[in-house]
Amino acid sequence: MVRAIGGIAAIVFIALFGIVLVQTFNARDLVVPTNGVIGGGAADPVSDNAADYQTLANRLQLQRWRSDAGPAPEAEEASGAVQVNFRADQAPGERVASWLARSEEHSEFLQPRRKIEGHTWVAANPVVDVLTQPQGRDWRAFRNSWPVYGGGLFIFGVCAVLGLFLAWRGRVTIREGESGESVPRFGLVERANHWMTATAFILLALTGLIILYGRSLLRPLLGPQTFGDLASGAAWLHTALLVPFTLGIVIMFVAWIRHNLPSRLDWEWLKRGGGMGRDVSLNPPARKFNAGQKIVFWGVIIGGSVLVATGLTMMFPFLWAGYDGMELGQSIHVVAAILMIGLILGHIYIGTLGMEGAFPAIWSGRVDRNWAKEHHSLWYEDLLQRGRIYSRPAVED
Amino acid sequence: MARMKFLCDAERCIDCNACSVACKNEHEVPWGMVRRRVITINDGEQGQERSISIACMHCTDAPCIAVCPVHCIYQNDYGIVLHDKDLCIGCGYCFYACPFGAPQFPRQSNFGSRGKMDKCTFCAGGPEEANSDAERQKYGRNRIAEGKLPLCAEMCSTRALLAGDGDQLTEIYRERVVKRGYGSGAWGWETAYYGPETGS
Ligand code: HEM
Ligand code: SF4
Ligand code: SF4
Repeated sequence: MVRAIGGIAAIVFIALFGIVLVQTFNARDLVVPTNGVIGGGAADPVSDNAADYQTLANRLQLQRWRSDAGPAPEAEEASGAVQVNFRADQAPGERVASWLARSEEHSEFLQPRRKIEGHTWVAANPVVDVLTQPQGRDWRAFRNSWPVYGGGLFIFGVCAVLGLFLAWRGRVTIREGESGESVPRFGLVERANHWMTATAFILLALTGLIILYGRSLLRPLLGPQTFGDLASGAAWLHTALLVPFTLGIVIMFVAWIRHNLPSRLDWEWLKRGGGMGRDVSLNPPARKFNAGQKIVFWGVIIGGSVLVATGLTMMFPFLWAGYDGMELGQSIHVVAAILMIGLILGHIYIGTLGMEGAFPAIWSGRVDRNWAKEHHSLWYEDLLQRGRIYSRPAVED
Repeated sequence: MARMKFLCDAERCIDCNACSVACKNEHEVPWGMVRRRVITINDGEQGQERSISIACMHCTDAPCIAVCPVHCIYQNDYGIVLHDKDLCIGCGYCFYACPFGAPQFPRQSNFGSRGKMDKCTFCAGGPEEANSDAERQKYGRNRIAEGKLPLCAEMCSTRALLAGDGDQLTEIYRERVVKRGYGSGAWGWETAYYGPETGS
């Protein structure tokens, strides 16, 4: 039953992966004139809200040399009409193509593309001294391609792999069955902190994904105004969640670091695939946290810190970073976010659907004696030795 | 094909900042924000010093429009890039993408850092009805609807800053270069108007 669900989920996610893949190759990120915000609402056609192009073009004659044009615009109206090349009926794509096509003609005026800095008397924000930073276009090209399509492929890919794994392996059961007796695993503070961090993370991920994908996925459904409200709520919540998330990973670090230092056992555990495969009959020995859990721990600590650092950078634009720092910070933020979402999907899978007996550890705080013995043999023995729990005769089969 | 552009003739700009002030006054731009600023490069180096007045260049294939998560910036058929403040979430992405530092942010929102973006409109207001109170309050005056060109260029005392139909701008500039025999080129045009056609 569970395996069938895994199979169906895998098929769905593989299909979604395929759709994103097709989109990746068909995507074209070219901005064309739309005369208003796309998607209805506030249209702003030039025919209604601007003078006609010819009038404006004639008016430009007033900006010629003073000796040619007179002392001020009011002095005299522009002389004759000039020849303009404007067509009202051009298709948006053609219009942009015709704009771009002019580079040959103007090449004598064009300079090599480079970052130019100077200084200005106007001090409204810390980067006003930069005249141009052409790299903004590179950042745009990155932001609108790799995270967007790569992120979709990665997230659906992880889900598909998990679905396939479930279909192949089924739920990892407790080999000896439930003993009906539990042993303590996580205290109240540890569990409360886990759920605070988890709630914050899930909301951060969802609100972040709204900012990343909302424009293409939700906006067409909701319309610009409703989506705008949703996105501004998401952006607000996303930054406010900084507090519980940061607190959560700090407490987690302090509480669990001593169980998560790498050891030789981890290598052994990894080589044996954690005993997850079908044919492996015995789980490799592990203390309180096995190598898989340690990977999640360090992923959360490192990934979480990177997200907090880059997130704070974006919350206070240009406070300590310049253009390079802001662009790099944003890029790292979105890549780290996507990798971490993948990691946490795996973590959620193994903690719930993937393995029998794992979830109570972080919910009630107690796990079944046999689960403890099978998955964390050394920790279990340690508990016995330290007298935290008492042994009992093995369950008769 | 015709479209609106800005061009600053750096050999004529004297760094008087009248354009910045005129713009701020005309549109009653709130405290802390300037839509147009003058940048001096190579300050003090003989023969190398130039002052260039810069604001939103109303780019072709504008990167700010491409990255905005709520898609609230748009371009019109004249090439003018405009913005709907009702939808903006103040994320700052347009600022990272903009090659010219055009987007401005009032200090508001979470922890006092980012409010709704504001930038040069080419004196063309916003999505609201031309020169209605709503438009004037959010975006300033709409001169384009009145048949006038951006104030910064029209009042430039040295005729350094030019705004209008791109083909004619180049004509005017070309004539000047021929007449006086020198010219450092159209600053920023390579990035603004012929930016790489970024596919993905
Ligand atoms: C707790 C620390 C964090 C802070 C301070 C933070 C802050 C930010 C900020 C300021 C933005 C820019 C957009 C906006 O203004 O809303 C952003 C975008 C984003 N964040 Fe976070 N964030 C944090 C954690 C996370 C986490 C844990 C995730 C996901 C797992 C995440 C995923 C994202 C995503 C996907 C985006 C959109 C990226 C894009 O549009 O390219 N963030 N974040
Ligand atoms: S100059 Fe900046 S704000 Fe203006 S259109 Fe170009 S990218 Fe957008
Ligand atoms: S600050 Fe506003 S206009 Fe700029 S990208 Fe963000 S939502 Fe769009």
